[in-house]
Amino acid sequence: MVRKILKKLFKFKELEDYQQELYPKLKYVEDLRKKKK
Amino acid sequence: MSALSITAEELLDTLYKDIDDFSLDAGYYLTDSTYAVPELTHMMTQVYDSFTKWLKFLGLDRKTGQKQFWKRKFDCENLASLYKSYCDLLHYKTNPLSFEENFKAKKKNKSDSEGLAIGTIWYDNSTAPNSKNLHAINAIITQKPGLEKLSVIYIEPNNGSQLSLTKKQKESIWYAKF
Repeated sequence: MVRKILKKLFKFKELEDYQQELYPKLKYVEDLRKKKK
Repeated sequence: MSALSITAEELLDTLYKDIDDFSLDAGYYLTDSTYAVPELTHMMTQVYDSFTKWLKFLGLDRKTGQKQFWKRKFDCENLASLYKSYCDLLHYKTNPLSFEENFKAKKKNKSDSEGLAIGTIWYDNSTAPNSKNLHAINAIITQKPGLEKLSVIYIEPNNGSQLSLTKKQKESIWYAKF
């Protein structure tokens, strides 16, 4: 609860918040090749 | 949606086709068996933006008024290697599940390719006939917007711009690692 208040009042960031900013999820080209049966 | 994965042979074939007169002396090192193909616009925007934040986090930021990340003791080949490592790290963090976890878990990896189709290349950047200006940059194997075939896109990690290499510059590549 205290962390939530700190985050809201002082824009306090946790390690996970930094990680989300520094390490975005990669986007890939979609595989449209026909799968071999 | 499943992510496009290519074999090391397909990656090498894309590189061969991009260079007319491939130097037999060049050292091309492909260390993974399969490579995931990243989406170009995403790499040029969000990923490059995060890369610069990551450099700042590592203490490799540009000084006020400086346009370059290069330093005398941390120059082009160091920055190109770091950009490749950063992108490889993103590939891992996007797909953290092991083969067994991915098989059992409800949440799946986006890609199961061993590597990411981003490499480091070293070439001669000079334009004058009898001079040499050796340089290191990055290459991304991806699809250009609207095209189905794979292309090689050259990236300057110092500013995130896309480079057009001349025939002479492509043929001067003597080292590439993917």
